[in-house]
Amino acid sequence: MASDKPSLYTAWHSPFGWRAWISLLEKGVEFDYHETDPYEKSPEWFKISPRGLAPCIRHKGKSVYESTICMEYIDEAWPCTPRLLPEDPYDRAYVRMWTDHVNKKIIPHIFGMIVHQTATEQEKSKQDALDGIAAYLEAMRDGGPYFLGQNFSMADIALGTFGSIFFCMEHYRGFKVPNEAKFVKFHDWIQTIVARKSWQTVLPPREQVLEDWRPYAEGVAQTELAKAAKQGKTP
Amino acid sequence: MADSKPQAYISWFCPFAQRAWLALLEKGIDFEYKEVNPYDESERVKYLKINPLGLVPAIVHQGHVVYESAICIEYIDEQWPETPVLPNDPYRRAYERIWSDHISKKIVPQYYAMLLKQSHEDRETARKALLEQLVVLTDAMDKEGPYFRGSAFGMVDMMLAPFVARFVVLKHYRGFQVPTEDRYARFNRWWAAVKERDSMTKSTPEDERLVDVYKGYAAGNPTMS
Repeated sequence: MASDKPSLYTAWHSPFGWRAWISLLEKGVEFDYHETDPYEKSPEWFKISPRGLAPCIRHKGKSVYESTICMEYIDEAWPCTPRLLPEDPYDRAYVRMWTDHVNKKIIPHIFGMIVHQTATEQEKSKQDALDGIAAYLEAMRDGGPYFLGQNFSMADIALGTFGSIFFCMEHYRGFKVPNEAKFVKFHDWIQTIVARKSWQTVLPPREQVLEDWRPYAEGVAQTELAKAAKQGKTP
Repeated sequence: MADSKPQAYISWFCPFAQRAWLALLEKGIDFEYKEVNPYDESERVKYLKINPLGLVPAIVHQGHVVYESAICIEYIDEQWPETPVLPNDPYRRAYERIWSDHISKKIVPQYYAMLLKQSHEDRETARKALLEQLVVLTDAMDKEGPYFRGSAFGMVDMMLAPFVARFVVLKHYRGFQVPTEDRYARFNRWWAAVKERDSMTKSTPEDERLVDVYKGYAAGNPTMS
């Protein structure tokens, strides 16, 4: 019998996975957590996630995957507060547009700066990431502390998961979001985000995060994620 | 002024813009069509003031701009809730989004690869991948159909249809055709129904115009004449 209690299949170290995990935690939904290695391409895994992607939510006998699609699904299946998308159609489009911006114009460069092995490529990725972050900050509404102003949303989760491990990019590549001019807002924003109980629950210890990213930074990772990042694609 | 008429910024040849155009037509929304040629420098500069990203489609409504074709479709569906293009149920909505994402990530790039790649080998790789991914998609379709989720024409159909309408370009320049054998039966049944819809007839340019406008792409040069 298909269960009403969802199962989250995800990898502890994946910021994409944290998006789904945080969304469930924020909603106070009871769920089963299944630690998953999506690179273990077993037949059992494909039965759970037909395209082999993590995070994947199994709920009522069905699978939902792609981290952004998971966030929207969680908001619609459990429409309690906090709403991850607001009510108004334009505000919803705004959250989607800027989540899409995070996915297309920031995240690939975060991966890029780590995975690329030459200084020139790394510097370009760092600059492109900063340009993407600057645009996001400019689109942030007044009144704070969240992207939409007073209300927390999917747009905060989209960037805030990766943003919470920028120390890792600093460690390996000297990447820093400046603390001045158009970037000033970033620091207050990320501090507020990371202080949320859900972030505190999912964030692994610093040393584990650094260790997890090391093969990518040193150019020895063979995963699809590394290959995709080298091509400038988000996995 | 509340509920003012939306403006849809569209380029007549652009398949991404056609996605949003289909949603507007299917829902019978009264909108103002605004033609944009993003390859004309002076038009581009003017258009950047309306949509800073400079891309089509864009929907301008009540002083706001919405862009990205899938986001436009969802905005149109939520702003004008009659004749929905997405279902109500959260899982079925996620399913539409998953397969829309599949189209954008796995099918559309192969369409462009077939046009833009200059080596026969690269084009063959793209052709095989395109056909394979079409089957993956049609395996996910409602068995009866004819549309993706059954008898209702919806978002996934709109995300794919403009590209299939441009297969005539692939046929002309690359000799590409979707075969008629069993493997593609569900696809062919889907397309036979989709191409007859009024919204498709209204928003799809004639074959000759499409073939002509894409000749730059076929020569490896992604601009429009």
